[in-house]
Amino acid sequence: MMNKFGTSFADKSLKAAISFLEDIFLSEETANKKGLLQSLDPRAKIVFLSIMLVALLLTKDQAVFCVYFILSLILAFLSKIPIAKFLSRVWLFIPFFSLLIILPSTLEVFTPGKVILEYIISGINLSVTREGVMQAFNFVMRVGLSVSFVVLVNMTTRHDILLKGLSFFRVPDIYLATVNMCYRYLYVFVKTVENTYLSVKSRVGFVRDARAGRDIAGWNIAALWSRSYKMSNDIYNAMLSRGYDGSMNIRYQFKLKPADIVFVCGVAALILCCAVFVKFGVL
Amino acid sequence: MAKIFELKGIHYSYPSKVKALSGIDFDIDKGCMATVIGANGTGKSTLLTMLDGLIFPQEGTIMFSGQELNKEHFADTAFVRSFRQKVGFVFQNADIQLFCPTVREDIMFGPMHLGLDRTEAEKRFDELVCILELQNFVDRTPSQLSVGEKRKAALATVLIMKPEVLIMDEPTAGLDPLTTRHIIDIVLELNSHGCTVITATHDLHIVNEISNEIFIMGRDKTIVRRGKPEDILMDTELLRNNNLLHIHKHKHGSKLHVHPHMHFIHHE
Repeated sequence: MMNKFGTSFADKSLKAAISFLEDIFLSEETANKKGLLQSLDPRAKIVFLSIMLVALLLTKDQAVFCVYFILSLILAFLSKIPIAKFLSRVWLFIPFFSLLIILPSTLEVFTPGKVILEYIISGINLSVTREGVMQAFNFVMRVGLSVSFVVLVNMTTRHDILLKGLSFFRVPDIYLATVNMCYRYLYVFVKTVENTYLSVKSRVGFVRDARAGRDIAGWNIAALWSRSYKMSNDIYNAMLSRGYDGSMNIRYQFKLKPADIVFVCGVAALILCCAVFVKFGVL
Repeated sequence: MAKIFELKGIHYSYPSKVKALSGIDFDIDKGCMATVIGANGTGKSTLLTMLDGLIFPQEGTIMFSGQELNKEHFADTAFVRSFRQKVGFVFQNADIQLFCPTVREDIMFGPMHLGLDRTEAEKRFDELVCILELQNFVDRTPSQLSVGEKRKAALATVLIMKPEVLIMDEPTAGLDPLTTRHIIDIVLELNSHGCTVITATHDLHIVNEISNEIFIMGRDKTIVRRGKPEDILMDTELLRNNNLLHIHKHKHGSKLHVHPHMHFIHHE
């Protein structure tokens, strides 16, 4: 159905597809910039990400969360990632949804403690406790910061290089090759959907109602399935034609630089300092 | 001259029972440039896929340098490696050919899977990148390339193995004149070094240059005619009957000129 702004769900789907493409381009663009994280070996970045995720999992102190938040901004700045884009990507929706999940735990019923907001409706206690709020804050920060560091690594590393880095950690080659190909052809299919929809739109002007929109989406899905099936056969033939025999041979050669080691050690030292400061009550 | 391919009584139908090839008989000399021409849907691509040992005839035999191409032989790893090193196939759709995350990996896929020495592969890679002018996009993802760049990259994925036979399906479709010229020059250069080139196309503009011999495939999925380019391309009746030619009308000043649409024929 067309709404008052003249857009249908098909339009919105198309916009989502285009936004997906833009995200890919943005990631590729930032990954090719000459920044701090871009200059690091993918394996160092995977180790860094793993360390950060474990540290965030173990952190309960709000000051430490703030330190990590500042660290994520510094890394984004040094890696030439547009800060506004980075913040909107991570901190616009993710904290909101994690807050919805954790909201009940702020109630006294689930987290007893010092009541900071007393609220009782029809005998049901909906009072909020300080401990509950802190728990919710920690949860939101943990999720938000985890996503921040994942996004940082993702935006500063081309997906194929990131996957190559995983091969060092004994992730099976066939799995990495499959993910790589999915990524590669996802792009081709999104482009196909976009072109098909634009061709429909150019012929009929706009999609008049929801039913017509659903029909078009239905044809598209069927046509896309048929094309993807044919394409998968063709790609398999192309692989066979160049010597593929069922085993993937994608071993890569990386060179670990002193800067990679310094970076990982620096981050580990920061985490250790935070833990020590918290232990002795400095933070 | 020694035969590189010999096909006898080839029949092939798709799983949907639609006939793709019907009673194909022909052979190709080693070192020649053979071109299969025909309108859309005449079975050219199916024939090339068969020459590359990716599908097998339901009837008839197909021989490569005296050895039959059949499922039994392709179950033998040593045979497969040897065949794939000798025969390179450039698919019509470059997006099919370029399945790796970057052009570099796509070009190196063949050498890594066919056991080519890494140093030798890298040497060939550097040479090819220069010849095909791929320097600026070897580390880019194929999705970001133009049609012409993709086509050249697809060609490189095959040429790195220095094949004895190069099979190409519509190599110049959708390309600008400059890229078309570049690809034709590369093909001619390869052939001058002994590489057998087999091309399928319905683009008559390039046929004369890249062929010593032409095979016309007709609507009935058979080879309707075989001959030298100068004979085939001048037979306008034959070309028109096989949907390879149409009447071209244009003006020279105020005078309307009508002739068959063949760019290799000069007119008054």
